[in-house]
Amino acid sequence: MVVRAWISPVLVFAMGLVLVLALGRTVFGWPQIFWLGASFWVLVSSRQRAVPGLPQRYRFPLALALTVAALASAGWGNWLSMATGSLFVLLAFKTMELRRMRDMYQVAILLLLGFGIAAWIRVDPALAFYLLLEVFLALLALLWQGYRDALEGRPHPVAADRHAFVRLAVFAGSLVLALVPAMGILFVLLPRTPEPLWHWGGPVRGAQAGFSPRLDASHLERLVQDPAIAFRARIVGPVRVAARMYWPGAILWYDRGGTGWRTGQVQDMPVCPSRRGTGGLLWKQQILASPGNTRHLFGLGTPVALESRKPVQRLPDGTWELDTLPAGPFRYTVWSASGVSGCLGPAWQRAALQLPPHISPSLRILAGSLKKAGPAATVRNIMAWFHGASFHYSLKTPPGYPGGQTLTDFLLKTHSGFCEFYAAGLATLLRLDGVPARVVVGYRGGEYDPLGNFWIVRQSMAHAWVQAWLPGRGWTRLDATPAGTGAAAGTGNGNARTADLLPAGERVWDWVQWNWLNWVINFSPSRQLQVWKISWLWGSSALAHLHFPLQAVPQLPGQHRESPVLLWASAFAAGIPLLAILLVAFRKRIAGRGKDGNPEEIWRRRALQALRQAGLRDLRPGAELAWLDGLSLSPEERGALWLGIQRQRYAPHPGAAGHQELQEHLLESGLLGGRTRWPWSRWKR
Amino acid sequence: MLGFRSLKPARRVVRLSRAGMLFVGFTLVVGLAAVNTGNNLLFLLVSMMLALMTLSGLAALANVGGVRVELLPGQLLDAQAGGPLLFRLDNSRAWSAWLLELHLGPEHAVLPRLPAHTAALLSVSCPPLCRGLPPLPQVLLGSSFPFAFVWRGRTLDPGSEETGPWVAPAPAPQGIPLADYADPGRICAGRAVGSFGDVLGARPWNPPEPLQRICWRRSDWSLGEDAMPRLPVLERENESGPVRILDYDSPSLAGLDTEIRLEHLRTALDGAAAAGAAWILRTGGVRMAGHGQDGKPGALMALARHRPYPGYPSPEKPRPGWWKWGTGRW
Repeated sequence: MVVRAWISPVLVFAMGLVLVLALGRTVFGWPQIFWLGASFWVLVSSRQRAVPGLPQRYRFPLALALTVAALASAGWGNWLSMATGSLFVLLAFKTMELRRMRDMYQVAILLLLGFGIAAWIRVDPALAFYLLLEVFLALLALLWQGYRDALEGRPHPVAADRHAFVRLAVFAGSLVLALVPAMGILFVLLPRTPEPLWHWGGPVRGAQAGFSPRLDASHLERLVQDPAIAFRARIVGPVRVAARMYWPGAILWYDRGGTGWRTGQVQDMPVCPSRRGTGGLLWKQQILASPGNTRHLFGLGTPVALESRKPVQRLPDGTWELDTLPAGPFRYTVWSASGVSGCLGPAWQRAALQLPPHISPSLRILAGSLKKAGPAATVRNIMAWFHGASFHYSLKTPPGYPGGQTLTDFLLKTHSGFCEFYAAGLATLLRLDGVPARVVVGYRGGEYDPLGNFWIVRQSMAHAWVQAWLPGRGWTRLDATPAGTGAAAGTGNGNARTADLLPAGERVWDWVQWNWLNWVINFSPSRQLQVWKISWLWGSSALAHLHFPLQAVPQLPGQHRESPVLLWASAFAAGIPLLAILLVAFRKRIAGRGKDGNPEEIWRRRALQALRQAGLRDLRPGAELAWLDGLSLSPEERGALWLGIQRQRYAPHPGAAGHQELQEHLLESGLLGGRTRWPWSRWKR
Repeated sequence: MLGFRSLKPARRVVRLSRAGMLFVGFTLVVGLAAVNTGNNLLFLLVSMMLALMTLSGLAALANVGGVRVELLPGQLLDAQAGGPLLFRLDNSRAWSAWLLELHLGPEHAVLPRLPAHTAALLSVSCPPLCRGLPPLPQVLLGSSFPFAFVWRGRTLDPGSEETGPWVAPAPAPQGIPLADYADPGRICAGRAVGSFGDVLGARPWNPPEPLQRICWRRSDWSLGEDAMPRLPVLERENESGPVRILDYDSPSLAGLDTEIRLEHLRTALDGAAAAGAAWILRTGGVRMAGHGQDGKPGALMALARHRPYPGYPSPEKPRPGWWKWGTGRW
């Protein structure tokens, strides 16, 4: 009899679908189509009758041939496609020959391997969700298969209980719900080495930062459309509006002409005292950065100090950089000042006034027209010119420039562009007017998530601005890009989503992502130690509020009463008796004493126990006489003993007095030792 | 407890299945990889597998613990032939028990689900036993629920109870004709026996009797669909003939061993029952009269209870000590 044969294939199909979702778009090819076809064939045929199986003699060679074909079609070296292709071929065959629990185990192993591949290519919390869903389905499939095997293995197979599947699903769901906290506790408790012995897994490609330390119009145009998260930051310090949050990453000194600027360090860094901001404001930021193709680190205002587990270096211009490209998400803490600090030495001044060799004379004329007496006045005049009505923000190339506009076109004709044009134009004009200037690339703005109390900075918030050196004020930030204007307002990087508050729908998901990255992906041994310490402190403080046992604990010399060691020792000492009581109660329950609450049964069992200790092996009723006959007892002893046995074992009301008499007879006859098994057994009465 | 033979749990048994061993091995491998690489996803996977082990173990404990097993009283088996033994499984807890397996020696039976606050009968094939009240093979109640990684159960000690399955002697390979007959009038004195074909009474159906003899209207299915129903057969009077005397002390059996005598008596009883003849059984202090199949179970029980019993091997079972928690087999 077939017991709902279609349920197991449906479950396996659902598990396969979850795996496909977990693997994402990286898997699509003929092995997946083959698996889909096999699943549909099994599903359709199992609704009518037992699932048809492949002939045994064709099964293995066919599976082997198709697996080899999947490996070959993926191409040597394309490990991901090779692994997923062969996995889906094998999954298709197991779907077709799904019969017993053994097959379901093999399916579960295949799916587990599939999730190993998925964990190789992504680390986002959606993977955890898919994993939990897969675990639920796998547990349900194993439960159902076991139940089905039990039904079909009976001498007279019967139909499944109508609600058995629902009951098993509820059980599997409850198990998964209980699994999550248990898994979390074990995850925190498992020991970790400070450094891994060998590196596992390739670079994570799930969320790559697109920041580039170059001023490249084509690159930025693509970047501002990207909503991926560059980093998350939890900020401690004065609150700022999102539009005034600048996250410098790299400083570009060298003008290669137009919007082509690049980094480069000036070697003779001036010796000047470090200034922690003009306003003295200091932020502490815990930043969780996504992996990307840049080594630059970001911080609000002017980062003055940085702490990271990865090796970092501070560049002479004040920016921070990782020694190597990060392979996964990483966390660092940065302290920032509100103002721009630094000095201007001769070499820096030369670099900050450097201009490309072939600069347009029209630009020199324009710069000359904007020049005023003194750097500050010149800066004000140029900024006012940029903020004029003719300038507007646009990501699109103005009409009439099929090959793209140049910086000269932007400044002299179109006045339409995005932040790179504004930053490069402002810096060029300032340099032409003799004001030292440099371009800064980084991010501007952020989205606040009140649920997790952190800011999200996206790739689309990438931005470029200018720092100009003003005597007496140092490097001063200047942003010529118009805010909130232009055709692409709200999407461009000039004012790109500098909204203070994240949309409500995204808050929870971003909160999950923050915690996932913080507490799972980036859970370092130091963080683990921190959690342990916090747990210890919580436990200690909780015990400290329990005053009554602590007052009774004698104080050791040199020992504080509130010491955590003493607290834990007290708790441990108090726990031992409790544990002993539980142990005895459990042991009694195991032994079945008092289980049914019938005292007569208890006394009968005790009599049997005493007789067994005395040497009676055959415990069947009536066998005591033969045992007594074999003992060297006087007729009186034999009679008294038999009477006691009858009274305690066969009489309707055995009791404590009879048990004592029986034990005394056994003792007098020498059948028991000097004492019974428990020295306090007489008290039990 | 009266009337039932409650089997007291003696010790726990835990067996790791092949899938369970693979699971443990895989957990170790992933754990080593996690520790060596520091990859937190692997740590998460190991945590999940360890948590699954713990939770499934607790679920298995809750599944098996608290299910009481009782042997139905008054069951009669044939020596050297075995037969089904009925056990009553009682689940007085608030949750169902799944995939319960009851092992009796090498044989076992599975109950897929025992709902909460219910009891069910489970029939397990019993291996051939000696006549009388022999010790039962090891009785084991357990389950592979939830994931069949571990088979968890407990042995049930059948050695300390009062009633048990009685085993009637097997028929002798070559029966000795017992040439003892008596006048039927004496046997049926005080009873108005009718003419040929009158109904004498109802008796249980004894396989392999033809199914046509069952009186289906009087069949009793109250034991549940998993148990053999009580199927009555109307015993009709056969042709009057001499009453067969089945006497333990018959001269024909003189000089034979007790067991052999009982086997011959069983052969003679079977012959009389098959022939539908009247018979009288005399063993020791027991005297029983019957006609055909009517009264045969009682006669078989009397043969089973005849003393002395054959010698049984004494069941020496290891007793778990106070500190021996891991007394289960792996």
